[in-house]
Amino acid sequence: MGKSSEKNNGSNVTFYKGLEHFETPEVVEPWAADEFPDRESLKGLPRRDVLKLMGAAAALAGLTGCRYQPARKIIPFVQQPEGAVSGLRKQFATAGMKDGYSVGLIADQVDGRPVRVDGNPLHSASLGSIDSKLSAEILNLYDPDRLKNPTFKGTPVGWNDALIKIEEAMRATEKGAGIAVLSGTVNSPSVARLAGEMKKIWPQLQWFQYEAVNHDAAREAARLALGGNFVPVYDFTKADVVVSLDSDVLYSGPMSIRYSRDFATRRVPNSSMSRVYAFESHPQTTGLASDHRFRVKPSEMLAIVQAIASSLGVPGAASSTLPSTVEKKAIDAVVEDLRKAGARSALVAGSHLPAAVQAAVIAVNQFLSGGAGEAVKFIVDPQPIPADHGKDIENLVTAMNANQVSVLLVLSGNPVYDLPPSVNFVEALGKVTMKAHLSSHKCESSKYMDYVLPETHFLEAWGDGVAMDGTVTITQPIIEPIYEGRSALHVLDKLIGDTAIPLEIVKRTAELSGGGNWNEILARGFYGAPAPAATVTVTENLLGSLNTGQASGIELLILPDPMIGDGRYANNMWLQETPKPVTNLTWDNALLMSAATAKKLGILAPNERKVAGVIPFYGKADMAEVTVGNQKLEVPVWVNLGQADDVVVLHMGYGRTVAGDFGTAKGEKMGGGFNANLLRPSTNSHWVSGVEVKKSGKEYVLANVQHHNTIDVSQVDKDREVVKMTTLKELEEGHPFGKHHHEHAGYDRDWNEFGEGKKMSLYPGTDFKDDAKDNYQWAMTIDLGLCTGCNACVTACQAENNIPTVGKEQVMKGREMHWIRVDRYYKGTGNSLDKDNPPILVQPVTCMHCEQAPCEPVCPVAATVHSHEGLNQMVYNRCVGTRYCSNNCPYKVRRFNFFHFSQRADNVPVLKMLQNPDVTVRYRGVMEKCTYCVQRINHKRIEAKRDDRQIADGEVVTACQAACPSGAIIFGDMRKKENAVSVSRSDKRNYLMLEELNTRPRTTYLSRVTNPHPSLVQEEAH
Amino acid sequence: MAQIFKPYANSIASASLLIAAGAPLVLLVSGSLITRSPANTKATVPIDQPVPFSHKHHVKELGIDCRYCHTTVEEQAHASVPATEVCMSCHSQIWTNSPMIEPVRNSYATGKPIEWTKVNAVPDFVYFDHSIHIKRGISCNTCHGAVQEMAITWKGKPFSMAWCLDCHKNPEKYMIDVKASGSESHGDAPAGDHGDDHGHEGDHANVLSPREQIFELYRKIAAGEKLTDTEWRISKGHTQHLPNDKIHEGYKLMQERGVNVSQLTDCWVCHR
Repeated sequence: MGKSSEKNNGSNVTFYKGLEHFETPEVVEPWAADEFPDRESLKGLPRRDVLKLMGAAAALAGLTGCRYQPARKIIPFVQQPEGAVSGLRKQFATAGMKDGYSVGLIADQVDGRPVRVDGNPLHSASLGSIDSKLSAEILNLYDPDRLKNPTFKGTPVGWNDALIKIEEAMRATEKGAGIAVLSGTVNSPSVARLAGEMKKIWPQLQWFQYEAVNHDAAREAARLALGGNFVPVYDFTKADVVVSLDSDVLYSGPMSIRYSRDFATRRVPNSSMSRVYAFESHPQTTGLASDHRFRVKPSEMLAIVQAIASSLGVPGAASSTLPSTVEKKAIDAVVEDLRKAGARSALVAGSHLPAAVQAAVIAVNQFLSGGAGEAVKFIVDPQPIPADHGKDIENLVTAMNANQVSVLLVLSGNPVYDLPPSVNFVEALGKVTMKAHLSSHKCESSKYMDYVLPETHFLEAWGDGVAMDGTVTITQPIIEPIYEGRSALHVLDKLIGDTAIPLEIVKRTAELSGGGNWNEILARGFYGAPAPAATVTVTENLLGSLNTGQASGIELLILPDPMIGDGRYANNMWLQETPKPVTNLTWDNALLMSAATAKKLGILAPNERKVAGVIPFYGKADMAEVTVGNQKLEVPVWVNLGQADDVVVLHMGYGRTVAGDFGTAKGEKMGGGFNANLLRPSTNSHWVSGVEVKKSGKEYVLANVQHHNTIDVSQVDKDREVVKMTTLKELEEGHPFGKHHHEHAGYDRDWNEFGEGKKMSLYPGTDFKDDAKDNYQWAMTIDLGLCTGCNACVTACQAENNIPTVGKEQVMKGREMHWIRVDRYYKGTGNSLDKDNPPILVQPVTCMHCEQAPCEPVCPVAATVHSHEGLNQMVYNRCVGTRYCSNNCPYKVRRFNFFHFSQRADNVPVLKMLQNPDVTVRYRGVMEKCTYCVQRINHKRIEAKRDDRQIADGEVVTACQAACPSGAIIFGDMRKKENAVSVSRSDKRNYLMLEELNTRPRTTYLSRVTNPHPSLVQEEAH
Repeated sequence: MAQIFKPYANSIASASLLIAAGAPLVLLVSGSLITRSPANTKATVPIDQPVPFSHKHHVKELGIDCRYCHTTVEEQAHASVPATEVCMSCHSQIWTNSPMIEPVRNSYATGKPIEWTKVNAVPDFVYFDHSIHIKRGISCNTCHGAVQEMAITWKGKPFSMAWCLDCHKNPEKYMIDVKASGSESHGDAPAGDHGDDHGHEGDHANVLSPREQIFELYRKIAAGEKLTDTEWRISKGHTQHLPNDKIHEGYKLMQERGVNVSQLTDCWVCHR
């Protein structure tokens, strides 16, 4: 528990980038102070050779300027299709899948190819924002490793031949007895309709659904608590109090994007600010966004709910013993707040928790709301074919083993990888005569199949799907299938002997359910009204009957990876390289455990390790052997502060053996991680207790970006922290950010005082006063109170700005190219750091576009200069790669192309289609950094000029801003006081990062404000 | 022993000194001349095309508006090159048997597009937008040269960065006020006359928007109407030629049209 009892007046608060930063600052700080602390390794090079090479390079460098412009062709249409305009960016509504439900998206198309996906502002599951996985879908579309044509046992066949053979086999069965279809979640009403048609032809056909990450436990909980198939829908705009029980509701789940936005509306520090309690087994985005975070093992979650319930007086609540990490007064505080909020409160349970915990949460929610359902309501599960995935797959495998299945159609999914070893799916497959697999990629399951059929990406085919709120989204193709792919809808339709094209099927489904005008549906992207709230009553004596069973020893949580999910995104380089929230790991998974647990197991924390060569020291990790039953797995350990003791977490999706160039695990050097499915005892288990973990003696290098591009916080003045935070009470009452902040605070800065030069500076800046008369003055504000550290901005920026991935080896050298990074800090007090449960802060850092930019005067070739609109411009063609600018940047936001990282985009034709045509693809030896999405600014500026008007506030939206689910990023012209960005700049909370350097950054921050319960404030200066 | 250095060795020595001093200069100058010459830039070099399309015939002799074929020039970054069906909208009726337009007919019949060779191109890292230049009244010919004179199209200008910047730094040189024929200022300024009449070019409010003025100029050319000196110069792809005290005409137009020079020279206006 927290040890900081002193007020957060700044003087004794220190932020640590990691445990090693606290324990061994002398090892970490050189990395902040020096760009090349590992330069010792270069001393072996002979000086003469270096000079010779430099001379040769200088002499030859001139030649690179000589280039002959090749003759290019213009190939116009023969007959111009309507609206086909070269270079025009068109937008179409479509939809993607997130955890089994649809999310409305908008796809940008240029010259007939999709180049970007964003959220659909009209759709309730998105509200215009997006998460990392959906952003990266565009790369999945152009993945060169996708299946290209149908094969029969490895030999290419035609689609028709394949379908005829499969249909023959199906027709040979007795009324369909022995035909089994295994699909992922059936989310599409059209597929469900065709499934019904199939059942008419083959009445005995059986349809199974299985995904490794599913909603079984939640479904089971609803059955237990409410006796029906209901799903909870939260309205966080109405939730005065939120209690999270190991839930990652702001990050995972079908509605997380929307929930983040709703949640953020109540995190603005004013009288209506919500209070959030998080009881977590390991730090997650929801915990980071909370006011109070407690460490609780999954096995203890029920006790917490029971304790809350019994204090509230929920009938049937059983008494329970609280875990040692949660004090009685914490529960009292929660209960006090819940009582006050009544129906305006929400308890949220993690979807990986046992059904009993989730059922108990339902009971408490229903008690609080009294059935009125303000913040939490229940709707009937809108899924067209609700199914229990765990039971389904067990039934299928039993049937297969009993030789009852002769034809097996696998529609997407990868059962051989997804299923735990106890279910010997490969053996069961051997007993099936005809196996066909529709899959986007070659995967572990492919080689056991007869027919392997390429599946379309959702941007290539018509489809539909239900969203969590009951609306039906339309998946609109943005491009013809790049390869010979077909969608599941198309295949099913052919098998039932229908000749309709998928468009007609989807259209017909919409007609049948009274969707309305088709063109309007397409323009909007969805049809149908949100499902009405169902009237539910809680089963009597529910709480008393709940039990999660005995838990002992170390508990293991096997959760979907925050980036690559259950492994379906394994070959997506963007997601592999986007740092995972909180841990900042890339390219691998690791066994996460608390510092105390690591110590108990004799595992060395990163700071206790030696520096190994050029690879930064913090990458080396001890490996541990995890034993579950008779399954053993050796995995590297990552010490994750804030995790409950005796709980270890391992993410799924890694350790793929057949997953393309980037997804396939290739060991320490290339990454790819370890297969957590091997440890799952049953088809549906995410939580296992009594796990044995022991140090294996081996080591593994993990690529963790936490210490890359470190801001030298040691030089920071006492109360001018890089990250600032306070409590709501202090914000309202006084000057919570210390003396200096008061002097220089945002509200003292005049928004029209561009570089007046009152303060002394090393860097004579441009006088923006004159420029501001005729030119927009762009500025950005990032609200740390709203940021949850989900990293959606990182992936969205990567997609927008043609940012290359560099691979694990280069990441380990600190050469990742992301233009925006999310720094994580542990907050300590003076010289102490609560190693068990430190407050964790996140801070997105991008180019600050300093008015007096330190990078500019040091560039020998003027490759980085200021624009009249206040942008710090980077001119790739001028850049000669001295990297002086990067060295001089106090924010460490510049990225250098050490190699030709964009080579793949040059060489692989399909990846050329991926590149955003509005942004230059950079070459080796060039510095790059955030541009404030200048291509979007230019586009809007030209548009406004064409219409003889000024750009309106909110018209230019940067990629990160568009993506941010909680709306933490504000961008605009700061000249007008009424513009959102000016308002945020004059906010009391506004501060400049490293203000004492007087770089006058255009990117400013709003400090984080929490709303702790008064009785817990002494304990938790969060 | 014979003399090693004959008397003429002195001349050789001094000559080599001169050459040594002069050679780098010669190399530099000739190098830069070559890179700037049409041999490298391909400016003014007619480019072979599958169809010997004549802008001169269509623009000047027939008076077809630029926008008949380059349909998106006013709204989009790309001016767009017409589809075969645009050619065939006339050529299904006239010159139906001309061997010159055989490839067009072929393309239309087979559905195979005509592959034109690109004449005017900027590198991939340059983001040019036609629409905003048209909006501001920058004549097509300012960049593309005297298109109405091209029997076979050539690149009118070098398309080098220095050339782009010439206008982006001093747009006043390229600003032009084309009056609709019939308005007062028209007709009294014969081509080639450097007289005083230019003074009142801007005196009367122009009924045409800058965008319309561009295409009015082509109409005048096709109609054979007399052009003012400035119009004539711009139509040939030259800059304005005004006495020093008259240069403010261009500035005035810049202000009217909202051309912001400070922003025009920002790197990220063209490169991103």
